[in-house]
Amino acid sequence: MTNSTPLYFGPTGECFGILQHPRSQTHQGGILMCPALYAESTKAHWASRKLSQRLASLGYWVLRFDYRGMGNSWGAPAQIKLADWFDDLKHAYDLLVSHVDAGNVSVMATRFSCHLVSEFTFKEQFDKAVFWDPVLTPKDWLMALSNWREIQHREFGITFQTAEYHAQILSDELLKNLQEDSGSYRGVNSTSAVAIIGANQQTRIKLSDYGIRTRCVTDLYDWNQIHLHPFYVHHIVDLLAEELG
Amino acid sequence: MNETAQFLDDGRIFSIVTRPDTVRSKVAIVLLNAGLINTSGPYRLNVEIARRAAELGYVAVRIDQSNKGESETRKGLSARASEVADFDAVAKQLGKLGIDEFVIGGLCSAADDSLRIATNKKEIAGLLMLDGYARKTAKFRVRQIYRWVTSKSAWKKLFRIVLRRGKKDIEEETVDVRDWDKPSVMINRYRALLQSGTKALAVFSGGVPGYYNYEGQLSECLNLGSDSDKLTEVYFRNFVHIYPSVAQQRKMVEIFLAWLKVEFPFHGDKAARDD
Repeated sequence: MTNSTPLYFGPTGECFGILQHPRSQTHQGGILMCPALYAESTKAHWASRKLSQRLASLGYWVLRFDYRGMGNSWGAPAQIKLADWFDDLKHAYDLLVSHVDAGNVSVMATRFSCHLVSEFTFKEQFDKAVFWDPVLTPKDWLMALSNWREIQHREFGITFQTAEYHAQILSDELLKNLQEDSGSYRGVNSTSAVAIIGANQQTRIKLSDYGIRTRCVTDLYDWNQIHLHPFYVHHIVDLLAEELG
Repeated sequence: MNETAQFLDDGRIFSIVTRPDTVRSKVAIVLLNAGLINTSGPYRLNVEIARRAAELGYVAVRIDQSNKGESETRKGLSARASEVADFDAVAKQLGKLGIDEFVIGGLCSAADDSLRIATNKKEIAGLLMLDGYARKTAKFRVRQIYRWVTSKSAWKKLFRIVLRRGKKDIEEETVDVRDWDKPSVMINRYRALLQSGTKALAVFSGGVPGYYNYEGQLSECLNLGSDSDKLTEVYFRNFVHIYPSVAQQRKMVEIFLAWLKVEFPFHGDKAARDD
């Protein structure tokens, strides 16, 4: 029924992943799918699964995974350091290149993962990099996480403290790293990169400055509502598959 | 402890089994999807429950039910028939580990599904109902009116509707996403299960004010009489429905584990208690 293998990988099996096997006889290469983090990951799960199935039908090996402290991987979020996530990326990459040629791997990253991947491309070369709604700077992402939570809490009339929330999910070291990092997407210059984004003109200009081509989903697209609109999911999967395939 | 992720039932159902280093009980915890959220659960709630239960010595399994998360749709089966088939596949798999009893549950739709699945399944000995079903009682309605009258936001909302001459915004339309049968059917099902010996832990958060607003509401509507000890009901008014707070999550999990140890003690503990 399924052509995917769920597994735990990394030195002590700390990361959870699903390796999608190519369905066609002609193997096209590999695609590493790097997820959104924290609460954002569940919003993109369905789209990621649909995309991996589509890419597998086109002949790609696809690896989806959860960073440490996220999803089904091991680790407590409040003990994770930025270096851990880079290690996870490396282990995921190594797992994928054990099935395909290293020169034939592309990457698809969502939200904050785009930032991680842009730094990671200094170490490993990707054929293509496709970013879905990239976070421009870690600070923006922290703000987005807090805002979303604030909305959730306001709905139920419960007091919300940003600092308290950050303390629960981020280690001091990670929070400091994120607050100090201006984020520049320096690493993607040598890679053919495209970002799938909403209609925000400022984001488009900034990504163009980094040398990243942009494609707008629709003027109405809103990341925060993505999980509620199957139409957007199908449309985004089409766009991502077109760029990666 | 260790985890095994695999597809069961010819690749139809995705499951992750968390096994303790030493299995101390023949009772396993089965966690279902909260709405459309995959195996990890909202804010990793299912991961937390499964791993904490395994630390104690219970086997725990979190699954993606048909057409959710990583699992495929079961062609030719209705949603309700599929949820039973999903459970059967998991029970069969865990049977190979010597597991013969189950505590099934989870948050929201997982609690609703569990109540249905447990009907006619003698191997299901316990239910974990997080924001599960409760009937609106007279006391609930009185409290709801009081809450409404004393709520600033409710008056503001009413004022906005009056200004628009009765038309509601699309955003204000509430959608009933709970797959509940008629109240009498739900109550009879719940009561029959508890009277047959199934035990239930029902934890309610402040996130479901539309149908639950005071501790003891479920017990009152079930009216269990001599079987009232089968139901443990807890209400956390300040808790959010999807448990985004780590502290709230921990508190709830602590209560679940304490309940589990009392209602489903380990082999040695049970023997000691019987003595």
